[in-house]
Amino acid sequence: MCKALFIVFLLNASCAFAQNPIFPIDDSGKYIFSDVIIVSGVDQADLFKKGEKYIQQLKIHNSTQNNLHKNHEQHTLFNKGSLVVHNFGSIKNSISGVVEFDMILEFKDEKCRYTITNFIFNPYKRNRYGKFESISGKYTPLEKEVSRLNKKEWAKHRKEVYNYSQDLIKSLTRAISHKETDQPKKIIKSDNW
Amino acid sequence: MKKLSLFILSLAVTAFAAKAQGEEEESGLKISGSVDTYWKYDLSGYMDEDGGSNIWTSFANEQNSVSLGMVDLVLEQTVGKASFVGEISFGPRSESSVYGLNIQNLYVSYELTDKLSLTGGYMGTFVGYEVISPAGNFNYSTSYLFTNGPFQNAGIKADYAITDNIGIMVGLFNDWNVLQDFNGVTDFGAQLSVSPVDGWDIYFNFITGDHEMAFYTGDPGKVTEFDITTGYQISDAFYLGLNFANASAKFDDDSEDGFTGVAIYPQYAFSDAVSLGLRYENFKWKDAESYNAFTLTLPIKSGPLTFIPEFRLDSSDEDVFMDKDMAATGSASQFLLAAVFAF
Repeated sequence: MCKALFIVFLLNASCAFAQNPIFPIDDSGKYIFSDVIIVSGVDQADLFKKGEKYIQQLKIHNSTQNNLHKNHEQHTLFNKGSLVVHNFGSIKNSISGVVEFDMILEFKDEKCRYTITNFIFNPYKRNRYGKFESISGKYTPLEKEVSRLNKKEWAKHRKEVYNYSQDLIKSLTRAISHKETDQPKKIIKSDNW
Repeated sequence: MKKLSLFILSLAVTAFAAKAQGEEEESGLKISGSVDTYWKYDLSGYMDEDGGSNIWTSFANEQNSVSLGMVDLVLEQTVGKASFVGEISFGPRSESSVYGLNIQNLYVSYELTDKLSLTGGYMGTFVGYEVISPAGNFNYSTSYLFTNGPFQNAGIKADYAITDNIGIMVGLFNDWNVLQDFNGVTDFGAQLSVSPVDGWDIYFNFITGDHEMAFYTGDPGKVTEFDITTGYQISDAFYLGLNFANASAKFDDDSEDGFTGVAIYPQYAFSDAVSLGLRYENFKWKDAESYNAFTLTLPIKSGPLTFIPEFRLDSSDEDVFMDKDMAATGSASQFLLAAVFAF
C-alpha cells in the first residue's frame, strides 16, 4: 500500500515538473507573444496615449537607459523591459540573471496589437561587495537549448518568463481597456440598508 | 585629509536627512552564499610540518587531504535608496582571509541620486582581479597578485557615475584588511571604471596611506598600490582578463619593499557547462625572487554546483620550493579538485 502511494506520489511530482510551458514562436523560431486587444469606442489617439502611459513604466533592471521610442505617424510604441529570474532551489531570491525583452504596441481605432519578443538572458554574479551584478557581454537567447547539466535551471527560467509574460498581457489589457473619467464616483447612502 | 573626511561625512549626513522622507520600493531580504571543498596534491609529494605544501598563494594549501574552503553567507536588503550587505564566513578559507573576524562584507549604502551613492563599512577591496569567494573566481587557487594585495578596505566611499560607461570612486579607508585602525583613517583610494564597449570593463585602482604594519610585516610605513583590472567578453565563447599591479612600501626606517606583477586570464567556454581557462602570471618582489605561474582550470557547471579540476605549475628564479627529499628547488606543481556550490 505504502509502495503504491509512494509511486503515485512520484508520478504526480514528475508530471507537475514536466508541465513546462510551450512558447508560441515566429517564422524564425523566436519566442513571441502577439495578439490584438479590442477596445470598443476608443479611437487611435486615445489608445496611443493609454499605451504610452503603460509602456513607459517598463525598464531594464539596474539600468538608467531610456529605450522608449514613439512613432506618432505610424502610431507605434517600443520599449525594453526585463524580469529577474532566480536560482534553482534558492533559499530566498538569489538572482540567477535578468531576462530582457522587447515590447511593441501598434494602434488603430478600437484596436491595439501587442508584441512581446526577443527574450535574452543576461546572467548575474555576486561581486566582491556581496551584491549581484550583471556579467557584461554575456547574453543567451531564451530559445537556445542548453546542456543537459543545466536544463532544469533553464526550464525554470523559461517558466518564470512565460508566467511573467501572461501577467504582462493581462495588465496591458487592463490598462488599455481602462475608462478614465474625470467625475468622481458618486455614493448615495440609502436608509434601506 | 581630516578636512576631506569631515566634508564627506557632513555631505552624507545632510543628503541622508534631505532624502530620508520620501521612500520608494522595498525589496525583501536576500540570502545567498556558497560552500566549497577541495583535495589538492603537490606533485613533488612535499608536505611541511603543518600539512601544507609548496605554492603559498592564498587558500587551498593543505597537501593530500580532503579539505574545507569556507561556508559563506550573504544577507542583502534594499529599502528605497538605502541598502546593506552583511557577509559572514567560516572555515579555513575565511580564517586565512579575515583572520578570525568571520566578516567579509559589512556595510551600508545610500543612493543620493541616480548617479551618486555613498557607502560606509567594511568592504571587499576594490583593488585587483580575484576575490576571496571561490564562487567569484574562475580558478580555484589564487594568484600572487591577489595574495599580496589588500583583501578588504574598511572606510567610506563615494561612487559617481559620470555616464553609463564611466564611473569614479573616491574614499578614505583604514589600513588594509583591518576593522579598527589605530593610526586613523589614513588611506586614500580611488577608482576610475570605463566600459568602452559592452562586455569590456576596465578599472584603474589606486590606494595609498600610512600603515602600522606595512605589507603584512610588523613594521610601520607608507604603502601605495596602483592596479589595472580588465576583462573583455570578446565573443560568446571567448573571454580575456588581465591584471597588472605595482605596489611599494617605504618603511619608517627608510628601507623599501614592493612588487610588480601581471596576470592574464584567457578563457574559452565549450558550452554553458564546460569551460577551459589558463592563468599566466609573472610576479616579482623588489630586489628579490620572481615567479612565473601557469594554471590550467576546467570548471564544469551543473546548476549551482561547479566542479573544478585544476593543474598548476610555478617556477622561480630562486630555489624557493621544496622537493620530496626536502631539497630546495626552483619549481613546483600541483593538481587539485574542488567543488563549489553557490546558492
